[in-house]
Amino acid sequence: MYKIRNLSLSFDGHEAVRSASFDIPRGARLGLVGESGCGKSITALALLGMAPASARVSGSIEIDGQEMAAAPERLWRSYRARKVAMVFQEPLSALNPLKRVGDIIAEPMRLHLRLDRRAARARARDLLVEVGIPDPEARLDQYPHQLSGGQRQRVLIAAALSCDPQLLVADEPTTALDAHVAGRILDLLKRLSETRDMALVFISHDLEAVARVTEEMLVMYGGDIVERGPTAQLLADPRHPYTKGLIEARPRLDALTLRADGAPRPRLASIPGSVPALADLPKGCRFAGRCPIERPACAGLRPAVSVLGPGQRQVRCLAPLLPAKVPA
Amino acid sequence: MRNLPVSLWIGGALVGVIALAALVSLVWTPQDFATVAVSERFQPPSARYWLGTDQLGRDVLTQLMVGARNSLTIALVAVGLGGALGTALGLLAGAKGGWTEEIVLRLADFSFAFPALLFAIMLAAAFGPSFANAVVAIAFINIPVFVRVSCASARQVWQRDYVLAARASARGGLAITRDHVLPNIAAIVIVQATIDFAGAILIEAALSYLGLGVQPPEPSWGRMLSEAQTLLFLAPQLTVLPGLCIVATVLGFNLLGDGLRDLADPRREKAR
Repeated sequence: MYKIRNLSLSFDGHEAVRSASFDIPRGARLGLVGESGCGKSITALALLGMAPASARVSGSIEIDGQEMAAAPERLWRSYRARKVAMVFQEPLSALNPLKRVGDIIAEPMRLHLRLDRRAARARARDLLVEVGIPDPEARLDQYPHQLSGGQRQRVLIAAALSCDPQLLVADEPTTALDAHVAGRILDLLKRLSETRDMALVFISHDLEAVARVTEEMLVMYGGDIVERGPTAQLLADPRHPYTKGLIEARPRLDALTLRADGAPRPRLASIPGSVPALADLPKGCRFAGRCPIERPACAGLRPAVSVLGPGQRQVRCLAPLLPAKVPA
Repeated sequence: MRNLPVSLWIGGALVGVIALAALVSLVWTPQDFATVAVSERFQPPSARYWLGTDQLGRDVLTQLMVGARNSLTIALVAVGLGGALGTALGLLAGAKGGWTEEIVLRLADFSFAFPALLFAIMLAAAFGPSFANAVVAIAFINIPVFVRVSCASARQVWQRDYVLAARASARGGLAITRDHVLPNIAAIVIVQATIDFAGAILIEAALSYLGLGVQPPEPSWGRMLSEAQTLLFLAPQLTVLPGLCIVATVLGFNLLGDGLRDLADPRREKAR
């Protein structure tokens, strides 16, 4: 459905996203993982033609055969809501505080599906049921501040679903929620994607969340897609040193407690250094400078993508890690 | 009412009294405002003339009431016009950004550079003294403030996620401005309008004092002041009373504006 080829987004000549290529087939659930500032969110916005005006977009974004990378705003507007919709990170700030829940959800339907007030309201109620909000009739007349965090996010999802998009882009939809509520939102997103045969691009830095929702994932670092593959395989057996670092840096409860033999657990692993500023990104491999297995060539030469094994796994590294377990 | 700012109460009361007097003058005044009766001049307060009469035998209370009506009408229309135009420009600049914003804001800066009162006097003098020209002059000098205020607040609203969400559901710039930006900056604009109202009253009084505002026989506080100033020692109340009215109105609108601002923005609330 979506075909993205060599998509680059640059600000003042600095590439925040460097020739990214990936497909989003119908109904697929794709995870986009990386640290803050690695280009996830801007890639997401580009999928809706909403990259900031200061960004220079090059490459190709093909939606159902239609080339959209350089498409005018007018054409993009005919795609938004109906083909592609978005769920944002902070549900409270993504909901206009002065509008009632019912109007927020009904607005796109009245605009795009030309529904009258009553029909739009009835569908808004059905959508609230679909996203699992109890007592939907009463919720329709409430304001966002009267809802709990999880309910706000459900309302936002309902509004995004209102015109039956084929792709839902969810940019860190659970970051602002507590863990229990977040888990239920994740399950909801997965269920909606399955029942509606709707593709989902799920953006997160939370690997557990990505594992819970997606089938395939892309790992981004410094604007490069450094590794991709089926989510389970990739998490079990990372080949890019950045992916490996990301997995090891994941906080776990057992890391904080003593081991059975009484010895203290090692400290939470971290990747040394921090994501460089856009203007200071290395020319070659973006991870150069922080990479534990860096070679002299890495900083100057952008590694090519190597395809690993028979699967769809790809990694952009000069010296990818060896498989975790030697295949028998 | 719980926790309403004190300034809101006092301001509201002052403005309420003046507005009431202006409204009553529409249907009833103690005397006819244009009737000159020289034989009745300089009357002290009495049952017939509650606040006495002036140097031409006109009833002072009547003059003050009709003057209130004229002042408030000019201020209302002028601030309404200037506010609407200024807010529209500010919204446009806030929505478009870039060159549009630069040009609109620089024009606003440019007209800010002129002292408002002098500018109004210049306009009224250039186009001839009249009620309508006073309105236009005051409206015009009110535009830049509203441009700045609405543009700055609109830009903040445009940064919000719900505007991004609205764009993601394919709303256009006009619809977003109407449905999201305007409702969210309305409170700020209304507060600004209330405060500018006080300024407009003051400028109207100044224009009328100079004979560039409300024309005789329509009474106006400003002209009452100028006509009575030579009689300051003979009949001080003729100067003091319209002066008090101006002070009360200006103070009232300022307090009301402060109170509304505190109400609209709890962060600026000070210890009361």
